[in-house]
Amino acid sequence: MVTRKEKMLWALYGMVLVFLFLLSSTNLFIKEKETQVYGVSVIIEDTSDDNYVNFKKGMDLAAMEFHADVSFITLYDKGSKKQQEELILREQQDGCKALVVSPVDGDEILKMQAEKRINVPLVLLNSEAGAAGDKAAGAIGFDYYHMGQELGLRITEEQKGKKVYLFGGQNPDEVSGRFRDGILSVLEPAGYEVVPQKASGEGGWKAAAGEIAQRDGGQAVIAALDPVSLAEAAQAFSEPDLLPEIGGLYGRGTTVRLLNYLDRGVIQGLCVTDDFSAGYLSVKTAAELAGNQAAEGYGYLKSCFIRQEDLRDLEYEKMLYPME
Amino acid sequence: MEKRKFGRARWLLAGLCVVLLLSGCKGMEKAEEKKSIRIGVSLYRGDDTFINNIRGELEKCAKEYEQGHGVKVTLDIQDAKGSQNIQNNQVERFISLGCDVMCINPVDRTAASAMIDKAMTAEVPVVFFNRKPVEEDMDRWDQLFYVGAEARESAVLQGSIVVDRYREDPASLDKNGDGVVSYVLLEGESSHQDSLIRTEWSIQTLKDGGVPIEKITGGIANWERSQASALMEQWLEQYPGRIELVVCNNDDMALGAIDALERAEAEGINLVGIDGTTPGLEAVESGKLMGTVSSDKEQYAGAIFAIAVDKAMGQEIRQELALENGKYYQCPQQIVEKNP
Repeated sequence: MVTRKEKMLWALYGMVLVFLFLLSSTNLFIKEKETQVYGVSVIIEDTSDDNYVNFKKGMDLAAMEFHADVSFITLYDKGSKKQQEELILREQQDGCKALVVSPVDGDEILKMQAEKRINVPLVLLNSEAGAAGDKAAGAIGFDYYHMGQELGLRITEEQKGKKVYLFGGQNPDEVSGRFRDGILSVLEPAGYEVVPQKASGEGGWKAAAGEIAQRDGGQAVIAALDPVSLAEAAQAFSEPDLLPEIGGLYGRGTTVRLLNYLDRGVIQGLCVTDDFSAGYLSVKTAAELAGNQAAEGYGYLKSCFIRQEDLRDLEYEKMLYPME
Repeated sequence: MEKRKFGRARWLLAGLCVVLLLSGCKGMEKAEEKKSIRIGVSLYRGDDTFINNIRGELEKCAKEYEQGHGVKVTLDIQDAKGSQNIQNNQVERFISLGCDVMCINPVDRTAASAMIDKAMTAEVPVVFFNRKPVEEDMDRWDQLFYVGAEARESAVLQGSIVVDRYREDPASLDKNGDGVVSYVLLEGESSHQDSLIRTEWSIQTLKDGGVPIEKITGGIANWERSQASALMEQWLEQYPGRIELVVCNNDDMALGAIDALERAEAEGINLVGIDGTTPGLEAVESGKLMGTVSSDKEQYAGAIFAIAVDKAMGQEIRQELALENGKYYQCPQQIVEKNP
């Protein structure tokens, strides 16, 4: 015979069980913190992400850590201000909470912001306008002018008195323009003959490199202002014995292809940038700003000049081949 | 009484019609309103050259579609880095981010069921590509599609490159003149059906074509250039002067073998690949690779994208794709040899 006391105990057990179930399986008592996901649109100035591989790795990591839903958007035509403007407006209309823009023209983007056409937090990438004026909510990038100066100095040390051909940057974007100015600020006062090279179409830089090698041989140095023209020039010299050697091939970029050329000795020196950190910090800043949190503005990130022997250096290895 | 019953039924019927009509209109409104779509793309390994080519073409297709139709296409491309677990998580993420359709290049074709379960629960159609899930999985739902190139066809075409060359000039392949073409074989992953089929049919085509062959050795290089290079280097040391032909399951491995040949400064060895990747085609043009089999990447990616967009927009899949059994698309292939 079950006593009244026992019945009450069973009922109590039952109630405890129900309570525990509600506690563990529902959010009736313990409210689960809702994770807010912020839409962040990253709009670059290029038509492909070839030069953004490490950047995207950093971007993906930050997206996971800071709960950002990142859309990486390229232009339909390289360097089109109009398209970039349209994409910025489109992304805002579609509800993105913050923008990361590598501008075709930094001043134009800041003008859009001043006119209140950009009404979400904006992080500018690689733009002098953003870095200098502190007008964007965040500005992240590299000091390309300083990088150019560094390259100019190396050329004066290693290639005394040789003729320097500048490749790329025919329609100079902000980045290659500043890089070129940095190089010229060193080479011109030092009395170097600097020739801006012209080329057209795919393979144009390769052909130009071949002509220079045939004409000037060891007395010529090529300094490429962008990764595309550098890769094409390197391709021309990657087949041994096909062309006479030139004095040296230099440039900037961090793609695996360029690093392979440096490793093979086709490129003599390369200005490299910490793209992984740029990707990570830009999305981190954008996500923080989207969540109305205080975010550091950042500024110039690490860049350096490396040679073939530096590739095995642990410091550069971590920067150039980041683990995801 | 009877009249009253009929009256009530009439009202019920009329109400039902109104509800149906309204729900129909709502659907139409939805279809008209769709101004942006989101496609989740998961790649088995982002550093695979062929897959990377397809990825590039998919991005082009998305841009063209955006420009042509005014519909925003968000391509969320993720690299599974060769891990099925990572890919499963990516599928979950795509679903939680509200992807309209997923394009999946499975890491393990035999482990697609978990992804299919998730897709079915969330009612998100899936376009698999390059690695075909097993038939039983594909038959589970009518919203599963597959785009690929037929492995047997690739292999037969690869074999015929060698057969044609041998018929033209036997000495170009049989370098030591012993009447037999001695070959080594570089194979893809053992778990990939294409790897097995490519090997089997390529060699069978050589035999059927009357090429006297002798296998020296073979190895699995998992489709990778670096692994193929290491294997080839080893074989060049083990079998000096004996290798006359390298049959490779894909272009990346052929390029790896070329790297090893260049390092060893070995000459007179012919190589054939499959895929027609950009570096593979360059190697053919420069004469380092005897030939490759190329599927039209534009068409390949175009088919993936077309199915994905049609499903995302809630439309019927376009007729011109002529899917086999309503779900399979095989991309045509062709031989690529150096232009004379």
